Amino acid sequence: MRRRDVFVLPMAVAAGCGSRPRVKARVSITRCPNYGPAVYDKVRSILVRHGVKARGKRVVLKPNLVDFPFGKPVNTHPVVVHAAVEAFRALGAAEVLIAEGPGHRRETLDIADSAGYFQEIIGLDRMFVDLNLDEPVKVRIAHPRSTLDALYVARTAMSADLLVSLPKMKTHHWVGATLGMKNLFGTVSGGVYGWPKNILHWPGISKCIVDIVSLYPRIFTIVDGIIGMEGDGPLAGVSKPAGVLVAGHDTVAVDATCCRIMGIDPAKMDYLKLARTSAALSADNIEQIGETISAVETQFELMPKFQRLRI
Amino acid sequence: MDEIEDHTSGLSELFRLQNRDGGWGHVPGGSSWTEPTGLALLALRAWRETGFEYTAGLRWLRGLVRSDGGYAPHPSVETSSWVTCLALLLAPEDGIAAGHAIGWVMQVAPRDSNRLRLLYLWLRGSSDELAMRRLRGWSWFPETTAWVTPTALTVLALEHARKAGIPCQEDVRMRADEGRRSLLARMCPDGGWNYGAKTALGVNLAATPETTGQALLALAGATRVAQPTAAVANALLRNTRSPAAAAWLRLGLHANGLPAAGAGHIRRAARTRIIDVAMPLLWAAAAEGRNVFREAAS
Repeated sequence: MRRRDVFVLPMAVAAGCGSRPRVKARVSITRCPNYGPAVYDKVRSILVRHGVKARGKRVVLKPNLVDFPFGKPVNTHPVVVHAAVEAFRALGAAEVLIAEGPGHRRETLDIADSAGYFQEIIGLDRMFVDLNLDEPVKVRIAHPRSTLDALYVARTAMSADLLVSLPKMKTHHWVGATLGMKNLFGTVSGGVYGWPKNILHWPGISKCIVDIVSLYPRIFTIVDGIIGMEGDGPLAGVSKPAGVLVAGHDTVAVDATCCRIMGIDPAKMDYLKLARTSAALSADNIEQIGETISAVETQFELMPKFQRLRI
Repeated sequence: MDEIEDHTSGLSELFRLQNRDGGWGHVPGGSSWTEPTGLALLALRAWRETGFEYTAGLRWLRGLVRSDGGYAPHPSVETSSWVTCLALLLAPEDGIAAGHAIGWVMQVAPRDSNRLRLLYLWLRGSSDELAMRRLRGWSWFPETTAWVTPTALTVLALEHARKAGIPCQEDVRMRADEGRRSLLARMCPDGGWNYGAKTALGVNLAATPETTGQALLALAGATRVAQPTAAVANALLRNTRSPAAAAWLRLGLHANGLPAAGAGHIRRAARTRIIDVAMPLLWAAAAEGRNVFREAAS
């Protein structure tokens, strides 16, 4: 026995004594090569597999609608959003809304239209909420990582029985990647803070990502990784087909899994490190169902400054 | 005029969308906010509709004033913000405490122009950004960066206040000039303006319609508009679907004496935002010689 073990082992034993076994977060990876009709069955199966309870609930779907696409995969595909609408309705949701609050553009519905949402989702105008123009509510951040102690967020998001984060799988030129957690920036009120929501940049984007996610106790995430974006995301990158939908109740675990699929080490991502310890982020602590990461992983091209994030 | 065949239908729509509390929401049926209320009141004034609905709206707006003289963006928000400039544009209407409002506008400074930030940029050798940040614009929300929309509208409000003789201890003209120079420093490489960033990590960013129109309006009379700017503004006008953005572009081009292209396919679905009703009314009035953003200045 080494001298080091005399100190380390008792501590390890003490740490294990009386502690409950860690419950693994369950994350599913579903192969989905294109935006054809099969997406609908796959999304429905995802919800069933994860035991999502939606009966009688007010479900708010929060896609990533960031800008006019001009042929680039910048926004969550409308088929994925529509599939989620149908799936939650099939589960008996009392109400399903689609809501977004873009950070830089004010013409939210025009962006949705140019992204094909009106064509795909009949009655969109009756179920769509521009979160930037929604009534703001001030919410205290219980344990802030940033210097913010409260934020004004959209009432529709805050009052949802279930908030469903529907991001696009993309790289991000400030954070490394934008996935389920970063997608929730869109719930912060642009009507209060403006365009862009610069209130979130000064304290540090990574810290604010964690703070914003902490405001929502009931989240389910489905990441549109069928065709993602690599390179200079979230707007100027290029298409990257990953052919997957990644989902789970634990948004941190979903993001960690997406990072691994993209060839990024989640333990090196600043916002994930703030959310959880390296041990908790490890693949051993995530119950992966469906496809394995190795079966679907595909390296997303990263900007030079993010090469350090590689697995 | 797109969207509104004549101003009477637009005014009827505005009256119909007014909330019971006298204000206007961002969207029909939504709770009242300062921005759409301010723009709706300016539109009513532009068309000389200053009766019951107008006074009810002013009464609502007066309720948003805060002890520091600024105005909150929404009744539930405990902070004054950029919307103070809209109240200032309405001054000196009854009850709008213009002196306090102008005081708030003059004392607030964007975070990206504070001394520590400028020192940091100087030490980093970021000369271009330092030159830009030295010129103070206005931010959307206190303690954040200056951006095009709040800067442009506040410049217009200061000019209005100065011409209207609203007293202020500070030099309003100098501050407005600085605001205009900060707008020029934020012009995109294509000659227009977006939210306020020319580049992102070395990549040139493109202009967007609403902000290009607002910047042009604020700069009118002070700066000669270059041809690329006029061209990009008209290209944006041909392609935008937003009635509000089209109106801002037309206001900006008109104020600079520039011809405006025919608009593209303006959204003709049910109007989703009150500003999409108010802004075309403001443009229509300007086209008849009543530009409320520049009335006192002209």
